[in-house]
Amino acid sequence: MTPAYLSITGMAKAYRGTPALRLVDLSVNEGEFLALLGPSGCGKSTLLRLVAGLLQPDAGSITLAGQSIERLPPHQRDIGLVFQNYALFPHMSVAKNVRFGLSMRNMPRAEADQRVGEALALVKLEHLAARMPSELSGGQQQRVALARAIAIRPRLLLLDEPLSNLDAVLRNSVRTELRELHARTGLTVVMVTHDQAEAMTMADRIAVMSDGLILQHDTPQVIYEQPASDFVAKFVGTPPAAMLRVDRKHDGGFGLGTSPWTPSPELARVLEPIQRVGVALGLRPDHLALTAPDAPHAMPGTIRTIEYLGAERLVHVEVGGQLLVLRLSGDAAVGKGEVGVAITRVPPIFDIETGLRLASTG
Amino acid sequence: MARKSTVLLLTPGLLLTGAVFLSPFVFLGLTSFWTQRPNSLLIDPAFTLVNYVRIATDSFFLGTLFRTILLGIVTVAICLLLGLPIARWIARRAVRTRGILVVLMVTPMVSGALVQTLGLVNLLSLLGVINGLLKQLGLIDWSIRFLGNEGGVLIGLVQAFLPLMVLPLITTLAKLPEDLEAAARSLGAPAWRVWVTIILPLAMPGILAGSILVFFASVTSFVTPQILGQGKVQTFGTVMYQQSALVNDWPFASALAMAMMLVLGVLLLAVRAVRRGLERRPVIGSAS
Repeated sequence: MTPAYLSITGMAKAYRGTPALRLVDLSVNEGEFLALLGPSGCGKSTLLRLVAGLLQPDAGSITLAGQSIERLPPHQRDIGLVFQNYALFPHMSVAKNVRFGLSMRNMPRAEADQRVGEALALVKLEHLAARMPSELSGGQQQRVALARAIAIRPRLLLLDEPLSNLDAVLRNSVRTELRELHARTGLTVVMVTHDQAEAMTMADRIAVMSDGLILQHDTPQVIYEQPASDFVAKFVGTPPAAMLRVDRKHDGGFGLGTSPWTPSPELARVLEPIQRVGVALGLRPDHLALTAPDAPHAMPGTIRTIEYLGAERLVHVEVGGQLLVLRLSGDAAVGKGEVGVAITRVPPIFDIETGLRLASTG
Repeated sequence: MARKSTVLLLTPGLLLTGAVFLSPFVFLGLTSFWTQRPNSLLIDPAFTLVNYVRIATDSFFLGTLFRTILLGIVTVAICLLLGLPIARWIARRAVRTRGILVVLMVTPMVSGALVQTLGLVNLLSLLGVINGLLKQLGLIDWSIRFLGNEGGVLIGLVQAFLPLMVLPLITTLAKLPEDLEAAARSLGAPAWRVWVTIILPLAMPGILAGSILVFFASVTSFVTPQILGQGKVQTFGTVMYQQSALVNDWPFASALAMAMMLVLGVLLLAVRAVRRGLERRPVIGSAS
């Protein structure tokens, strides 16, 4: 197998003894859109800055297009970077901002003019070329930042939380525009985000990070359906997966909290061989259905709240001290009170202690 | 009605200002057009331009004026070269550390020029700390003469007025988002081009403010050239002192002071024009 386009191996970085990245390996294929997803402080921005060369790694290597780049200063890396706050040069017009990288490469005037025009056309801002950044809206500023990064024809485009400073309406349209831009330019893109919906909708692959480690690196579908750990299951998806603890009794039966419970034969087949005192089921609405409280294999629960979302409603049911979320169609009649919750599909099953998904399941 | 009461409220302040600042200034201006009677302590209050003609035609005074302004310009240049990296470093510290560093920097200024300058004499004299150290290290056999020349005065001026440059620079540089430099670097700018294309243009308000402060403090200084120049370096400050306190020619010293103020006033107006020009460009909005 040929090495990946961008390949990061054994990357570690600490700030004053506090590790930000513990040991990270990551590979990105050419033309791929990768999302680095994780809560704040997970090390995703550190990783991005290491790739851009704005930080020096304590250990590890980075190769880009077959070239080792971890010793190169940032200005020799040919990597486009779009900052969360855009970082436009306030004393330069839009055109000069976009031209900046080309001027640094001492590109002839005519060629640079053309590139600036192309880049601005790509973000649909030709008509604002003469404006100053302070005269632009947030969304326009971001597009200038994008055009500026693209104009140098980077080998890699890095986006640091590109949507977080935009309002909700703009965010949706920029999401689509970024995807289109990626498709049109064929650039390899690495985007940092803390918003799982952004990562799921935009990326070809997602690397989920927590506490300086990459927990799972796969397509959005695999990450959603076969999360590597309870953290991933709880972080990804709307609503996130709820963890339901299932205990193993001395007699070999199963229990929810203090009361015994008989899982469906399908689920029991998966649970039986696991030799643990307890496991956690990662339950999403897709795994659950409402039944009568006394239906076979149902878990007894109490409806706590109902969220009406138009086409559907989300029903929060307390089962064994844990809130589970079920999805019903918007017009379904549902009252409050005692109900049963059935598990209709085998959910991912996690080790209680390590949080890792047990290999035999999912 | 409102106007009347405003004037009334301002009256005490206006009177005090007039008495304390304006009247000596007017008196200084008047004196400069008078003459000192020879061999007498009395002044001849007859209007004459004789003092100004003397300044404009005597190469000693013109040379002194020229040297003073040149010293001021060189002081500004050195303070800029030293101050920019220092200010950027301080501006990048956490707010708390920045506060401590600023206080440390300002403390010597509060202690007054005399104490600092005498300290420098200890450091720089022929048998001073620096010469002693260099001899101990075997780097020199004979003491280097730091004092009594323009170099020594320059060291003193830079030492005394560097904070005046660094303080406004810190204020402007701290306002620049750090990502601007990172953005420039990622777009292909090596460190020196980041300075030229990003930091210096955006720091211009601080550079102008600091330069004005240092220049004016330097050309009007007296203690530093007097002590470190050891009477061998004449600046406008030392010459004015000689004319007033030693020669006892107050009218001529007044004319020197007026000439100085005239030159500085013209310079200040020129700088203001430059600054207006800068402000007219829509620079001010930050990259928020």
